Amino acid sequence: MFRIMLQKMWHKKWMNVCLLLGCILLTATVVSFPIYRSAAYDRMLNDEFENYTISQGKWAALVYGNVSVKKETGGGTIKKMDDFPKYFYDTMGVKEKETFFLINLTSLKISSETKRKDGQGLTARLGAINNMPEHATILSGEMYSDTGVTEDGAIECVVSQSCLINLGVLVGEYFTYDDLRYKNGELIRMYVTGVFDAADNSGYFWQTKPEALNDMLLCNPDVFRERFTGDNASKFSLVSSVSVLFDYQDLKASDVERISKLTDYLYKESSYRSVLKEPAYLDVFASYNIRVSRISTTLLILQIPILAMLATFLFMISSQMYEMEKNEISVIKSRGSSKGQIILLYLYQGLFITITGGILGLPLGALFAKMLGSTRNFLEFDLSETLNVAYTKESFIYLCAAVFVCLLSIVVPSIKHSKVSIVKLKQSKAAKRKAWWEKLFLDIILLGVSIYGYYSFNKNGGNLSNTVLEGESLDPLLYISSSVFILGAGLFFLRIQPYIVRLIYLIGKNHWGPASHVSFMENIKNGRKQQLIMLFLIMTISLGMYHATVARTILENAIDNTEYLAGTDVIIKENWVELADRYGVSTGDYVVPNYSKYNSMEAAQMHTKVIFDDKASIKQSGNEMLFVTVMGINTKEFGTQTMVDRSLLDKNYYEFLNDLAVVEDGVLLSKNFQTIYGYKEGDSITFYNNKKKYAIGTVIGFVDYFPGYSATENGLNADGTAYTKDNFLIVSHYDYLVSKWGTTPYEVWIKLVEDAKEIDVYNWIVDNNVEVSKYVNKISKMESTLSDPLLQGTNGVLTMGFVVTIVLCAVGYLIYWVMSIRERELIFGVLRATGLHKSEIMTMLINEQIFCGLFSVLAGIGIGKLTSTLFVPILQQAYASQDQALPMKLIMVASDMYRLYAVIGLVMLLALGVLAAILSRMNVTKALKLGEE
Amino acid sequence: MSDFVIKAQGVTRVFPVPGGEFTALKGIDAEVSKGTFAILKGRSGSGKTTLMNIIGTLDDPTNGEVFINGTAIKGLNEKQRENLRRKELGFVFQSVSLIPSLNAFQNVEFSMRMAGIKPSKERDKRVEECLRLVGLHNRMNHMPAEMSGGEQQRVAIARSIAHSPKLILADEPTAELDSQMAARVTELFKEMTRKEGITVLMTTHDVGLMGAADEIIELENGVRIYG
Repeated sequence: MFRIMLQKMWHKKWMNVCLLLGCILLTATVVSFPIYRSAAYDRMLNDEFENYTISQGKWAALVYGNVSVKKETGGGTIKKMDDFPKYFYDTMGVKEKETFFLINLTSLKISSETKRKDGQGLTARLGAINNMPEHATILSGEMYSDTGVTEDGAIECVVSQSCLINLGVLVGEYFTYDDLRYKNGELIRMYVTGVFDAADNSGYFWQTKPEALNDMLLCNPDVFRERFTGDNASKFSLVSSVSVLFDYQDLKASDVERISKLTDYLYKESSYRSVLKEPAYLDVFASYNIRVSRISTTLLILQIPILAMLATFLFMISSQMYEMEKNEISVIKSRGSSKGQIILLYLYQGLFITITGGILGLPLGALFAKMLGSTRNFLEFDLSETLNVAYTKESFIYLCAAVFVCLLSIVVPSIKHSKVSIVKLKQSKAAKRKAWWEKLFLDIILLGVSIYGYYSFNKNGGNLSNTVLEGESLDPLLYISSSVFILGAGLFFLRIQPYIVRLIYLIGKNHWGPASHVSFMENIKNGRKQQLIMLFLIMTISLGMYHATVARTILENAIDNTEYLAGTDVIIKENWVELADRYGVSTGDYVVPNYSKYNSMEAAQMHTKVIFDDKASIKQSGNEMLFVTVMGINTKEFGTQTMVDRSLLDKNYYEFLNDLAVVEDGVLLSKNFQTIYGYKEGDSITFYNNKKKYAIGTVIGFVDYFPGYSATENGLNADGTAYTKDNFLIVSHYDYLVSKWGTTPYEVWIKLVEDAKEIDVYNWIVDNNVEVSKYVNKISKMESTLSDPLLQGTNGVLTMGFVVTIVLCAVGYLIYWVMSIRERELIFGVLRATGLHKSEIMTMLINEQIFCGLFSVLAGIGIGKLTSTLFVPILQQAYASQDQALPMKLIMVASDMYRLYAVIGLVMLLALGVLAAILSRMNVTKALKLGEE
Repeated sequence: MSDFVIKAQGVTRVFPVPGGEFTALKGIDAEVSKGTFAILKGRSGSGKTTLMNIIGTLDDPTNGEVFINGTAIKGLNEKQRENLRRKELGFVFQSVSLIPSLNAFQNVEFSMRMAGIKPSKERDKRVEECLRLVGLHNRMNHMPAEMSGGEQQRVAIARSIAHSPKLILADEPTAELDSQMAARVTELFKEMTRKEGITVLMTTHDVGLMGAADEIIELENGVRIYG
């Protein structure tokens, strides 16, 4: 049987190659999902940790515990603390980054043995830090020795600079505890050997900074433990504190659950529970988990239509193959093979193909995942940014599922065909019935369902963004609605397509040449055979267009929003120190930072002062306060470096600024002042800063949008529900504001030169010792927007899906036409013999391509556009970020469409080319002879 | 000008085959005059189809010359040959050669379209007339798939004569038919020569049909035998 199978496969090698291709692509697409997901999650987890570490200035992957023990017999508690780091790293299975272990005696009085006056009765602590010498530099004197004791038995100690100043100890001095003795009654003597500071490369080691150790004499930990812990502990009050820092760069997404659970156990149930503090990384995990839940369903659902297309492709090709093998099957059957044997034969064949496909698809899937991770935009990859992908257990489960689906798609059609016998074959050739879906009105049903979905989602559109905000992923029905709509509309087109062809035929009835005549007849009579390939084409194109629009819209909107909210390239607000009078009461005046230094920033093209006060207020009726944001700008400079799209405002942005420029006390108000509080142009408005100083402005216009201004603010209440709040904005002149409010801290808005890098700005800040209280950088904001796995994954999935469907479409279309020519070789021979020219046969085929291909392409374009217009606005809400300020714009990039058309056009030309080649090679006499066999 | 519809002179056809050449026809001479029902006889492999293809302008002889209605085929370009085939020749093939998407009427009408006869009442009449001639005028709306092999072949004959060609070339038209139907088809061809003044050249190896022929040309291993 195996030999028969191989022979059969070799005979139809091209079909089998196509099936294999389909299997490989399907497997790769399916497998790429878990691989990408786990890699993207790893990266996301790392980002979350990084964000925390940078924004808080603290290492996030840290567990801190501390215990104080008074005169414990046996010192068991301290011993247990000593064991904690090893216990922690072992149970957690994480890599040690740093361990900061401080053990010390509680503070008691010590005195210098030199009897100097200011060296008596100092309150100090003797302590020890594990692995300290490697992380410290000695400023004067030397580090304690390896033995840790002087020749006369005193404990060698080092002190920090702050301790040196605070206690006034001297290097080379001996100290003795006033009231504390060793267990055997001997004096506790200490010898200061040097002064230390943190070593430059000590990283996150110093969890308690040397500056904070200002009463601590630090000695060799071995000496400390030998003399004060264990059996000696019963004499002393000890404090032991430990910070274990583990390496989050090695953390995998799959570790999150385990570590969360273990951590929970550690500080809630384990024997260390009383000494450990709740670690910060649990917060990191929590915010990571919210992001994950949004992404995983979204990406999976986006893939469904693509997978459905792949399965359809396999189904189509294998059906076509069985169609061709019908004769063989019927011969085998009439020789006594059972239906089961035939199915078994195809099952073996299917297994052979799908398993091969699975083996080849797995590495391709990893490659796909890599590509997904380097997607920058729709159909755009940045291969320098690769993702570290690895096969996970999950990816093998997906692999098996994919292989199984492939197998089903390939074998199921054979069940239908296994029933065929020669007699039935002849009968079925004569039969021409309506397709089952036409009889069931499936197209109408699908359209109805999807339009219902459209209306119900549209009705509660507002809720949708709240749902998303609350961290839930979107209703899968929303995604499915659009696919169902495409399918329904595609089928509906297939229903009416024959009537269109008939209409065209009737219009030109007397003008069609013999070749066109035949092709019309062929399409009218046999058009149903082409329905599957037509549906395939329609789905490919409309899904392609829809996906392109989705991807573009989501991305462009996110980019626009980021750009708009940033306001300009860089915003720096320095730390303004408020002046106090001699009684320490603040005067409301400031030390004004030097503004001229901004001229030295080479990366800056221009800069301007902007007052941005989001704690200003106006008084409403009943003296109620309404918090508003007040901006004070220099209209000319501000205008040259900012921009608001014309479509967002009632008139040109610069006209607003010009109107403002000519009125000294003029203010621009946000539109909601007009819509909610009924302000009119010409009204005057009084606004206060948080020091109760006021300014009165004359309203000269209302703006819906202004650089950096968001009309509403979304957020989460304490109970996890979403809220929306209005933001109010007053834009005034910088000079006017200063004249009324007095000196007011300003931000510096900077427009960068063309090729400026973020590091240039950063270096300038460091070089000029600028203390920054607010720093906005558009470049880095854009970076994080673009690498958000939700956006990137969506883009990636859609791009990959697009590429995959195009490939399938090309292959499927070619196969279909090559088959259809091969089937009709005899007829073409007859036609040629009766005098039809090759070009006329070509005309016939071109006509068929028009009826089948071009019609489908046009229908696909129409359906794609319609679907995009209907469903993208709804879908976009799922991606809108919490700070979405701009209205959604539907983005259809012409170049994407041209690319799509070009690819489709190329495929159709290629198909025609191949057909022409087959046709020209087709020898009339041979073709006729073929029929005589 | 002679009144021979077909005139072949020393027709030789050599095919290149792996490792040499194969001579399918060796110096065939043949003449068929107008209104004749001629049978080209011979076993399979004797060169019948090769000769038919050459006469049907589908193939060229390696040596020799063929005249159709006095026109030398050799001098004709592709376009002229197609015109000749469309207007002056009719073909009937061994196996079902109807266009599957057209019904009987449309199949017959098709050859008239090919010959450039514009749609008209007369054309429709002619189609019916041809179908009546083969006894299928009451089945003209049937699709090829709904007819038996013999019926299909009769439609093919109706098609081959619809545009009133000078010469019908029928290559083994009876091979797939039972003897009764074969006799009927042969009879039909003979009738055509009488009623329409058409010349018919039919190949067959069925000895039982020879009686109907006005003239028999017999081939054996690519050589004409006169017997």
